[in-house]
Amino acid sequence: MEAAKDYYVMEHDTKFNDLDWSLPKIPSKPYEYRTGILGYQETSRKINICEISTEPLYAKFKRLLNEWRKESMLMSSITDMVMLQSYQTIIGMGPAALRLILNELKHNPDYLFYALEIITETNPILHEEEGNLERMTKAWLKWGRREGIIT
Amino acid sequence: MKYLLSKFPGLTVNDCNIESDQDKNYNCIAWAAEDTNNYWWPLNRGYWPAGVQRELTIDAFIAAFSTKGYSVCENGLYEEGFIKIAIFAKDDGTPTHAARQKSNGRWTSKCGKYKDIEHELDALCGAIYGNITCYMKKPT
Repeated sequence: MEAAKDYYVMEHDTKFNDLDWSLPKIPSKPYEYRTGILGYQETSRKINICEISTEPLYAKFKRLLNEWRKESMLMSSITDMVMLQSYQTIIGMGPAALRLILNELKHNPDYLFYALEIITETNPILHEEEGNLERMTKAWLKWGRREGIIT
Repeated sequence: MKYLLSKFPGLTVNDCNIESDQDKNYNCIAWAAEDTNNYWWPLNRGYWPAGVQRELTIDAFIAAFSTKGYSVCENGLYEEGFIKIAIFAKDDGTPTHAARQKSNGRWTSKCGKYKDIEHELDALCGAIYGNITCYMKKPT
């Protein structure tokens, strides 16, 4: 399977209107759009993601997550962890990654909260919960259920 | 063990004991402060003691450990009646790691989200954690 190529993120902002946002030449293979992405794309307020990739979204997320876990294993610095390329690429997946991240938190909690915070521009973690993996996970799962992203 | 030896060239099989399973609930800073419930870090929603400045500086880390009764001292030599910690930092002064001295004079570290190990203090100096920039101690 061909590796993921690019995500084109187009902000709906007038300052970008003059830029050339045309997509590259369409490959002969049909795009593999998935309803989950398009579903979120329609409801996203700020970001519209056009995925041009043959790697399924879930496979890409798991690949990046595994890379990140391996690279960050010995790091105590959350700041360094979230700056790793694999983590930044997960953030770059945008709203399409939300359900994947939240489902991952359900089964294998980890420090994915910064990615959620950047993508959603919200923070459901109370000050007294900061640093407590279990409580931060619960706060985000509660948020995800309230927003209807996970069950 | 093989994994740790590959990452920290200063560690040797004879000088390193693994003392716990992998645990993501706390990190080295928390372990040095004897807290296994929280992941201590001043930024990015980590736990940080109330009233201490949330910044990536040695001064902020010294202030954080001061809330646990530690004060700055000169070296990491074992002193009867005291617990010591060592704070590691990169060349630019950014803190990366902390280790705590045990009653046998050796040091214990939590390696990120990985395991607790007992080791010689200098064994963790290098590319990953940088070097020791500060020692602190408190009465036992």
